[in-house]
Amino acid sequence: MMTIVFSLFLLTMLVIVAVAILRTDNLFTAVMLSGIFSLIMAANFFVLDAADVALTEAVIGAGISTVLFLGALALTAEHDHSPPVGSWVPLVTSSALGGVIIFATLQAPRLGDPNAIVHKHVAPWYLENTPLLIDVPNVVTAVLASFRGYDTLGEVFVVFTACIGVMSLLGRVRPRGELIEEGEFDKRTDNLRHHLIPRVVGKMLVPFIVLFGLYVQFHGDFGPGGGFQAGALVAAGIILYSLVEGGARGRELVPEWFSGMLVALGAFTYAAVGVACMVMGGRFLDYSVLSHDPVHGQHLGILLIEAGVGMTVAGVMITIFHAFSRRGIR
Amino acid sequence: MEWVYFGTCIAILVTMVLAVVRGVVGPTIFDRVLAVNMFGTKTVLFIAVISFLSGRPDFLDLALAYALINFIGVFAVLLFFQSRGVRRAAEAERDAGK
Amino acid sequence: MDILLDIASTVLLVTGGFFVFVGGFGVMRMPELYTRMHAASLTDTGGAALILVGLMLQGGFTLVPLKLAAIFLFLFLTSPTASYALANAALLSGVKPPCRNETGKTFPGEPPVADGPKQSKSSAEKRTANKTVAGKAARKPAGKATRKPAKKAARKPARKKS
Repeated sequence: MMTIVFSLFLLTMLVIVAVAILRTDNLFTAVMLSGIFSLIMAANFFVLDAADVALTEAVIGAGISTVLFLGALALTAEHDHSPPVGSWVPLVTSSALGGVIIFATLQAPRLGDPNAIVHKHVAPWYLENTPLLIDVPNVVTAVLASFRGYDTLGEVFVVFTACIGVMSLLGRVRPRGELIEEGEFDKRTDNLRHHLIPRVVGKMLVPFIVLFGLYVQFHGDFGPGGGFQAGALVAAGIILYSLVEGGARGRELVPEWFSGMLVALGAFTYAAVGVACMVMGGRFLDYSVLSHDPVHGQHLGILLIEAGVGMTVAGVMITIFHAFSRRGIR
Repeated sequence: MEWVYFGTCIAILVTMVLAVVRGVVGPTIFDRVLAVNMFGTKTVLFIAVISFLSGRPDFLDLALAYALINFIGVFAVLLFFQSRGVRRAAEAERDAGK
Repeated sequence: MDILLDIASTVLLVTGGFFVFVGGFGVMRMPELYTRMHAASLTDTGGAALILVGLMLQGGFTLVPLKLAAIFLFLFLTSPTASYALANAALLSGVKPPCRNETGKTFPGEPPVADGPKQSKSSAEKRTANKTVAGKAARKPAGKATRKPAKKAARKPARKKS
């Protein structure tokens, strides 16, 4: 009953915020409202007991995405210039598709129904076999990293490809065209150094955020956590430092070659673990052969690939942020 | 004790709804940033109380993570507005020079 | 002992929930941006403190109260900083707090005004808001105006060069 009440509140707010995002034409408003949207989704996931997803959504959707969108807004316009659309074709198409999807969900089993197929065959198998085969308390990490490890490899490469795509658009060299000189642009507007309170509090919190990111990385076996959340948290710490001290100092702290290398190294680590498993006699990404004992092999494999995931995600976020902050004013 | 948790959750949820209304209605953009910030701290409290309500206190990591991340957005907003003056001056100069 | 902890927790949680609700109510009903910020930031930190301490009493002697203490510490540090950053951003963008300008000290960037309220809105709500926040807000620009003109004077030659 409580879940229904909470979900009612949260989903109503979601609809209101979504409609408001569509109807506004000030892009800044849209960015702020999409931050609220991500937070509502994170709370919703949490009410539905999906803690890992809630953590990822909160950190990436409400934290880093807002900063990246604001960076993009600083380089472009603030108002949406698209003319109002009067055609009825998109409305009819989306309503028809939405209606078909809603009709299809009416056939699905109710949320939490113990007689649903997924709760009779799939979920019990994972819940019974995780302590036997992998012996990791967090079943989500076990499924993500080991049982469905190939899928997660694809996800890491998707993140890697996204980074390559962004870098090919934003470039790694200084953009040509008019640019306000580094000195003049830098002094008052690139950083928060002359505001004492944000500077002190921000710099004080950066080590805690990075430390907490490392905690989440290695604690992913036992509680909500893992590579994706940890990478986003570490990147958030570095981004906070860059916001407070300015883009130039942020690039001194984590140079662009380093974050680029992290991106490639993380994806490479993941694939290398898979190949190492093949070399040691098992199949691709079959961690059981990595150590003297299958369970220890699984632990080692999960540790290595989560490290790879964390490195890639952190590198990607930092690279994209530096690419935005480097462009200055054209 | 569970009803006390439930009551607190309802209070926090009602405040979240009020913050969202301010975020949607608020005439200036700063009202909306205020709404986002307030919504963030209420989410942290909501997660803390629900993790006690559902008896799983190891979910407090989410609340801790979000308490650390919440204010990065506001700093980015401050930087955005700070650089807006210089950006507008640069645009005006470029438009005048064209 | 348990029942005592339960009663203390209940009192703290109920009070915290009340604070949080009052904060939301204030954000909706206050007439102007700075007053809304005042309502939001005070009750954020105060309500969070009460709720988290109430939860800490229920946690027992495990790691949980330590994590709650860490959450409280970080909220205590970052929530007022966020309000400061937001108020600063609003001030930089020219949103004026409702205040009467009688002493000749001006809002940053404006020529001095001899007398009369700065806002020319005439609704009764704004007048009552002026009366209640006039004292507080009149002190605020006075403090900021002494620091800001020095920075503005330093900034203006840089702007004129570009």
